[in-house]
Amino acid sequence: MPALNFSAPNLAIVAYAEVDGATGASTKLNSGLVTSRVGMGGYLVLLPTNLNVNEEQDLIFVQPKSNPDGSGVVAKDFVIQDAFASGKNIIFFDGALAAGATVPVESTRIDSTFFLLILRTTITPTV
Amino acid sequence: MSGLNFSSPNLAVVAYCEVDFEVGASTACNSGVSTTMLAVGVYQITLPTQLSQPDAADLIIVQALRTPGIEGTQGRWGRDIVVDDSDLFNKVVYIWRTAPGGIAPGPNPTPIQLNFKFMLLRTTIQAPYNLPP
Repeated sequence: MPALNFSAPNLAIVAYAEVDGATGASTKLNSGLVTSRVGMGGYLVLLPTNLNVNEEQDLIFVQPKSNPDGSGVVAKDFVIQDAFASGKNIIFFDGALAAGATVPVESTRIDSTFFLLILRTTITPTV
Repeated sequence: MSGLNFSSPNLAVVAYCEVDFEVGASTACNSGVSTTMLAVGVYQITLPTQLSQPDAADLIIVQALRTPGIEGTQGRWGRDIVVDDSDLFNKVVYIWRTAPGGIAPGPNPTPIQLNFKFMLLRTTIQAPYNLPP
């Protein structure tokens, strides 16, 4: 194995943003993305054409955060859909179980402000 | 659009640490921040003065860890994490248990003490940058 030296260019920053939960806009922190809210708890992040990244190469981190008005400090879950090279979907769910439930059931979508970081590998997959 | 060239220095590492669930200490991995537990499931990471970050510039990633002593070898609960970055110096991390797994059902979600990793990056480009129309 050739080993990974620290700081070797194996991951590159593709894009990042802070997305507002209420509107889906990204006006604070935005590396050049177009972001929008697609229904309750759903967000679409469009990458510039020259930064499209397919799902075999991208590595995405999402971090829920409080809303700009200080609200939103509640438990919430999310899932990322990265199947498309030009756009990535993030969907948030209420982290609370339904009243009286002791096991998870289908969750309710919930809006959330969040950080997004997309990296990509710069080496060729070996498998 | 100048775009983001791959590997261009658009994000800089500001701080990172691994925080212990019991009192919020950070002794294993710490780039130079102070950490403490404010309440059950609520941890504060305090940045050095020269590294303060406005919420419009920072990008924070938190990763929950299995916590020996209170969880089994494969973890025990679902957990959710929310970050409050509104303060320049103090970034607050909230953690909840979101599934009762392995214990008697109880209130859900419940704030819980857990080990976690924390990383704070910041943009090095001027914001706003190429904002959507």
